[in-house]
Amino acid sequence: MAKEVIMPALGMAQETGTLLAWLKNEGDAVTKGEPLMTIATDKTDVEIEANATGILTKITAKVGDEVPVGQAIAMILTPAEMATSQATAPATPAVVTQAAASPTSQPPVAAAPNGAVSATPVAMRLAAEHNVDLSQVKAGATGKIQKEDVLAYIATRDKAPASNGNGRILASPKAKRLASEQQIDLAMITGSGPDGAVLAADVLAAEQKTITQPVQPSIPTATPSEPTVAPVQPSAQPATPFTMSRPWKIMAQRLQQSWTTVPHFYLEREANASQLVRWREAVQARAKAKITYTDLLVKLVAVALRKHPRVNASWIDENIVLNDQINVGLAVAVEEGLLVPVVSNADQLGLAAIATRRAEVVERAQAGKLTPADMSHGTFTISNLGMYGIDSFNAIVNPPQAAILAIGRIADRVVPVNGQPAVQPMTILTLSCAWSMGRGRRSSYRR
Amino acid sequence: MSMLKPSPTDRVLTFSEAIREAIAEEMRRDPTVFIMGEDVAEAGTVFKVLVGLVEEFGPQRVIDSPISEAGIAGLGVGAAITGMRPIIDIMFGDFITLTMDQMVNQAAKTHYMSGGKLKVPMVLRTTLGATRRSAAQHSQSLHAWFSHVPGLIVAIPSTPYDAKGLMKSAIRNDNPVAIFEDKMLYQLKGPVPEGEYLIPFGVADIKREGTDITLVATSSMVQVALEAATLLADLGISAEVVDPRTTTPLDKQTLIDSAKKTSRAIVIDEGYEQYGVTAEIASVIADGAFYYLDAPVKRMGAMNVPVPFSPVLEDVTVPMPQGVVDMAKMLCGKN
Repeated sequence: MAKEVIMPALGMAQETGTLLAWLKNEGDAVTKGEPLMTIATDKTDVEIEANATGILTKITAKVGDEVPVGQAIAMILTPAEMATSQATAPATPAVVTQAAASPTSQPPVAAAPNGAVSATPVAMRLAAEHNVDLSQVKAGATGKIQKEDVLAYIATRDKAPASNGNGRILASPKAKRLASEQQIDLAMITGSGPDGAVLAADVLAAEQKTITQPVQPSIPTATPSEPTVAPVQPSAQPATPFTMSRPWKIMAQRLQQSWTTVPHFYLEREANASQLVRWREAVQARAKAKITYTDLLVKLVAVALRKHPRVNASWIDENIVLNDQINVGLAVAVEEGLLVPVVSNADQLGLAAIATRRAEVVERAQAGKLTPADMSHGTFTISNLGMYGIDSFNAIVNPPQAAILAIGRIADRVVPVNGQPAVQPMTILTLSCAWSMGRGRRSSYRR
Repeated sequence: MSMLKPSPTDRVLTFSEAIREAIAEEMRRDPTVFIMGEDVAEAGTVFKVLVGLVEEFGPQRVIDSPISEAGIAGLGVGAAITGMRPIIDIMFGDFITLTMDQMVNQAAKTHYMSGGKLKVPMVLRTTLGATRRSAAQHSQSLHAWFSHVPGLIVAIPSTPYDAKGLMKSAIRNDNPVAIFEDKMLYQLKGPVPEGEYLIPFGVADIKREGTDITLVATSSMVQVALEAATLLADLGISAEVVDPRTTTPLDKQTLIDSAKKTSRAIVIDEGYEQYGVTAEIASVIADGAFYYLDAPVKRMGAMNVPVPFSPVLEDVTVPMPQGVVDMAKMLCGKN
């Protein structure tokens, strides 16, 4: 039986729910009781389980959509229904009954004159058994999809690059290690090995690409995340280098404003840095440029922000605006005070690219040569005083950002490991949050 | 004292001359060393390796034995326990099957079971290797059999230099040592320095440095791997050839380090592929270098069939340079 997936009501007064994530994709097989999607209500985020076993299809709600409670946002069909539905009603939004009338529905590739997919019964059965969308199958000379056409489609699909059909990415152990060191997503790499497996050379090539890609100095102007209140954004002479005193004055004003108008709260956590130390050693062994702990932290923070978009938000006109880009600002101490150059799209950069950018902006900051573009559009800030021997400190949020992470030195301390005292490199991380943005619980995620 | 590399300026000896020199030097140095086996004295072995020894040391120390490998091996174990340093010569490695109880249950266990009171300082020298048109019972490479047993040391030299150094170490070692000489290597020439040197057990030798793929090769397969490496160099693939020199003890670290450096490895040995030396070494590399490997560790051994008498067929059953080249190209993604 076809089942509708509806936006559930989880609270008494709840009128809408926001779709945070689909945990299954269109066309995936789902089992009743399996997590299907994540929904945000005004109080909490909840994983919703599948209400039937079958194939997830007809997804109408996109990630981020706010949907009225009770509205159907997808269907779960049995394979047989799937085949029929594709034969008669291709790709339609929302509920099935609207399908026939939908003017935007696309005709299937092998459409017969009446609009239905034309396929032999054997082909239809094979398609159903192998979870094949018949509209994606090319018919042979007869115009009718035959068994051979479906088999050919299955063969090609199963040979899809870098996946063995279970959705597992094929990669050599070395390629996996390199990708994890560089925090590169293996799924984004085209493999050159057997069956499309990702090899070490493919990862190195991908890393090279992220280095040579020009670092975007600013985010596209059309995005809603454009910080409209950013005082650091001067409209005049955007390309002229600033003198040292001007940005510092602006920074001072902003922090003064932040400290006096934005209620701060602080979350402090002592973290074992031994993996960080090992990671840096491993990366440094292969890198030409110097890789600092700050570089690793930029990468870690960027990846964490991807998972926690609310911490990467901006407070604009009494509204929380989630930023599409992850641009990590680095608090840099200079002669006259503090500057915050930005590593844009830090989540998409390899470590080498982050290190290059960091070295570049820190040098320019110290030479008084930072441009406004260098300091614009940060969505989060890191302040690392570890190199000055500071154990921990509280930083001031850099508006309109939601939070700033203050990082202390890595110092050997005696801590329990498996119930025994052991000397471990530890560091204290202090997250300063704007109260209006963070709401406490959300910021104190666990790694 | 021990020099680990020969110099190109050293005098040149054949593999068999190097073996003979090692044994002669040790027999001069230590009167308890003697050699016994089929045709070792009058004939100087069927491969002429020991020619001249009986003239120098006499039939008391270079002893022709009856045709009974089990008997000679037992005599060797007993002589070793009672204070001699026998070298037991088993003409063809295929015949070690007859020595198994003496080697596996006596020689390998005596020191352990006597609580260290007894020792068995004997050497069993024998041969391995195919492509000599000697058919199924005289062409096998059975060194894996001894390598399987704790308590036995197994040396498999690939050059005249290694043969001399390993043979001298074997004679001086207080444990039973089996040393396998490839029949096809006896006429191989190579530099051997004048004067004394020993090669320690469990120390692999990098026969050729490279960066793209590791060829771990033993005994005669070292020559196959070196030839393959030359062919691969023309294709732009830099192959490193590593010779473990002893299968037990095995120099795991050198093998793992090389595979970590090159990210790829082929293990080449003339023993049967199934349950053989290649399997053991490949597993050591796969385990130790896992996160550095960019391709599966491949094995090339003798085909799992009796070695054919037909020359055409025989050559197909053992690894040859072109086969190694083809495999290396595949692993390096150059086809």
